[in-house]
Amino acid sequence: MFLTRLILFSVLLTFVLFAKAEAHHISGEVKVEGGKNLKNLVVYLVPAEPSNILRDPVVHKIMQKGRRFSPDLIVVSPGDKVQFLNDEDREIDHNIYSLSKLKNFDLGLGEKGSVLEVTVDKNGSGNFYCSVHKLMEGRLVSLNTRHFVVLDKPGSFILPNIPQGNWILKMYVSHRRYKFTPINISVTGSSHEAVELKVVKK
Amino acid sequence: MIKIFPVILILISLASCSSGPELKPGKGAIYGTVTAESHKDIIAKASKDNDGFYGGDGRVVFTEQMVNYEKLKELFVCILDSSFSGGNDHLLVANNKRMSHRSLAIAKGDRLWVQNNSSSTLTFFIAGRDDEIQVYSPIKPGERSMITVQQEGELELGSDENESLMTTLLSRRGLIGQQHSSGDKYSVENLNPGQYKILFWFWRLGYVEKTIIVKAGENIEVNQILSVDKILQSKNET
Repeated sequence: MFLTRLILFSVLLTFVLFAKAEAHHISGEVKVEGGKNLKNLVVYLVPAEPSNILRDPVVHKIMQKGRRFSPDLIVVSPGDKVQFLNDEDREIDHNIYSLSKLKNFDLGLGEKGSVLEVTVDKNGSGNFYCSVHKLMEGRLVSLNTRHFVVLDKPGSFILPNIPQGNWILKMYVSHRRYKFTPINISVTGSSHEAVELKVVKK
Repeated sequence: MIKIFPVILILISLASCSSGPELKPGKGAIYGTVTAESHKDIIAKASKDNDGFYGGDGRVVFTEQMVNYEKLKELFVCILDSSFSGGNDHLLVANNKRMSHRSLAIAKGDRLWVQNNSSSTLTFFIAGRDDEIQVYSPIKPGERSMITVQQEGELELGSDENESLMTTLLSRRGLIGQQHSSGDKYSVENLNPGQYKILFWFWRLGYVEKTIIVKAGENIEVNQILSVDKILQSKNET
């Protein structure tokens, strides 16, 4: 029995060490033309070859205290659920909805303490709002990857644990004046560091 | 007889009010009321509840932080006329803090002027979700500039220098729009007989689109309430 456990442990340890040795990271810096301090940048990786990898759905939470969505930008994948928690200190009702191309939904009355949920079923992006409060506005970005990082301003980024293979490095830029041209990147024997991502004006 | 006459007069005038605008020979018209209102669940709770932001008279009491649907001033009623290729002029005015309009409905091919009443030079752009963009030449304080809008869809007019200067644009081919406040009556007159699309749009909610067949000598009444639930219901029906 002890021997069996020892063998199993050894196999598991070897697997973990091997996996760690094979996974790399991509890091660098995002620079914006003219030095503009853009908010809500999402740097992400997608496989160069189209794949239909099924991911375990994740539940994301968005709070609403103080009549603000927190976070106000959330990155998900198709199949994920987004829960809206009304964590207001006092009796304040919300009505969360989106009439975007990504997802049309209306969660109805969201009273204090309520948890209302929506499932995202495709890629894309779209705004969601509270119909009651005028400053409550958020953005949902659905990507076909778990390899992403959200930056609240331009600067350093790191994408950890990237398996070997051919990837496309992309960026979601919410500001409509700017764009980013995707970069092909091949992860083989080592990590990629000091990658410079330039966001330029359209 | 003398007492009946004013009553008949009132009835006649009421009847003429409800039957829509006066028609020209061979033309038709669409008319009605456009209103915005809170979500049905909020209204339902307001009718039962006296606490929080709900008033005791069964109505929502709007505070400064809330979207006051009863007082919205940027509801657009738009006709899509396939024979119209644009060319209308619109003016947006920028000051140091905001634009004159939060939203505007225009046609592709319309001329969009921006007057710079701020204290610094501003560079405006019109952008959609794809790579297409139109950029104004820099506008000095006190001056204005114009661009003929070439894009369609829900666009954003913004400024390179000041992020708070932003107007959401709904641009569609052949769109002729009217701006109304919530509860206003509207009318679209002198329409040739044919099929038209009519849009009711509020930037934060999106739009309801309806197809209307206009006949010569007919007024068609189309009333629309804009609320989250009614717009979603309309999208699900189409």
